[in-house]
Amino acid sequence: MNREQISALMDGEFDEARARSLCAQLKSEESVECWAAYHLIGDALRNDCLAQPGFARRFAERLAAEPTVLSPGYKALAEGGSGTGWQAAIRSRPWHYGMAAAASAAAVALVGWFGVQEFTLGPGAGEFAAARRPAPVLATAADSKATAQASRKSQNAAINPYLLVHQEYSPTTAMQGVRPYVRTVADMAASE
Amino acid sequence: MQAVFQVARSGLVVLGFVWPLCGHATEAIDWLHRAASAAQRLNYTGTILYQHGTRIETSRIVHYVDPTGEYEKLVNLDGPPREVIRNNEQVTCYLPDSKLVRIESRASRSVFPSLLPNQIATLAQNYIMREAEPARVAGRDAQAFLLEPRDGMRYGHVFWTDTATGLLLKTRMYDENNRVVEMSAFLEVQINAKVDRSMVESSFPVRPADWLVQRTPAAGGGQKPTGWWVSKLPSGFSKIVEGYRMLPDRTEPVAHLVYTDGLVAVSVFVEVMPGTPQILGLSQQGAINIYKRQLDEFLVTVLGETPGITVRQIANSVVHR
Repeated sequence: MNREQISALMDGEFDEARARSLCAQLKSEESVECWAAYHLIGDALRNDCLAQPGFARRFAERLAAEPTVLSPGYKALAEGGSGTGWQAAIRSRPWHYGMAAAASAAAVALVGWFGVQEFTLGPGAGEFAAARRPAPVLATAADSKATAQASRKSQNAAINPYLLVHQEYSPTTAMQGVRPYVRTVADMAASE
Repeated sequence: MQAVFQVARSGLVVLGFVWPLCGHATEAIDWLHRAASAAQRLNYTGTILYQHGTRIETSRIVHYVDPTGEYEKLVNLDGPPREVIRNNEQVTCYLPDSKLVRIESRASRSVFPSLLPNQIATLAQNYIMREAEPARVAGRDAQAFLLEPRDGMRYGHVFWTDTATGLLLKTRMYDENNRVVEMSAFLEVQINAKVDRSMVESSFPVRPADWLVQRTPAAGGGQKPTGWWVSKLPSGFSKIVEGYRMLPDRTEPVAHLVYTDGLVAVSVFVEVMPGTPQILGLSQQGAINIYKRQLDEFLVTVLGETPGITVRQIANSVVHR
């Protein structure tokens, strides 16, 4: 996995399937360091709080030390319909379930951590960390999600003037009248 | 070598595809103009369904025309009530939950009709146009037109228009994996409905007393060189607007350039980096992709109804002459 791909992945330029496959490849020490470094650069440029070196390792250690989370039984989940992807994997390898829950909580926390830069993985994929999370919600995960939503709301509010100006110049507006303004009005509503 | 190859390839595109498609392209242009004209001259009311990703919203729309001009009202039916009112060239958004009114004015009418001379060539270079199967939308017979992109720098579009009047009834945008990016459709519509002026007026006072009013004045003086340009413009896009705009909360005018491929537009805004923290990188609002980056002491914001790679490439190649 090269640096160009890591950079493009951070910018959400891949579709969901490709992003997943690349995330799965993000295993070599070099790739992970590059990923962390790019985020650190982004944070530094934005004057955000900076993650101290070793944040991910310490986070994983602290998470591992957390008490076990109450969650629906493996059996209930298995009966819950024909889940795809890692739900199916959970059914076949239940001992991975705990790991998967911890991993998705970590992913959600990361979304919160990096929420300021709108962690988008392509259409619909942006919510994949939250949407694929099993029913039990860690408090930290829920808080992080709220943070991500809040930052997204402020992002929408900030972008609206540009969008309003832009829409007036878009050729498709001529055919649709005020219909494209649904984007402006609706998306803000949905982010609340 | 690669440049030569690209030239050869675009040559092939022109020779191999555009000529045989001229008939279709002309037909598509006629049909787009019919839709644009219907949207401006008909009285209609209807309920619109809007879908983006997993999100669905409904809104109510009323369009009214009289000798004084064109009036339109959009009210969202889900969530906090918000209104968009158009009075000819002025668009006003009422956001009561934020106690905010945004007024956007512009100097001239929609850019679509004015693109006519180059539009056939531009559209045909960027999209394969063909008529699709007729369908029924909102209980009415509809014609369907497909604009399939020739490269990954733009989305595909399907338009359904009312066979009887030409009014656009449904649109769908899809990405290169054929996934729907955005869809909007009338659930029901009354064309040539009995509409009067009161139905397109805001439910709110023109300027509610304790609301914040943000006004974006029309671009003064029209076109003006800004010194900014895009060095690696994706193929098929050309500049249609360049000038300065005043945006709410900004003390200095913002440079604004608009590029179009004949169907969709990408806006480039360049301004002195605002004091408030900015969220850089790629984000989305509906089918609009937005890319922000810092360029020396400037903030570059690029947005358009195109894939993320398009706005990113444009943003990364903005330079000052």
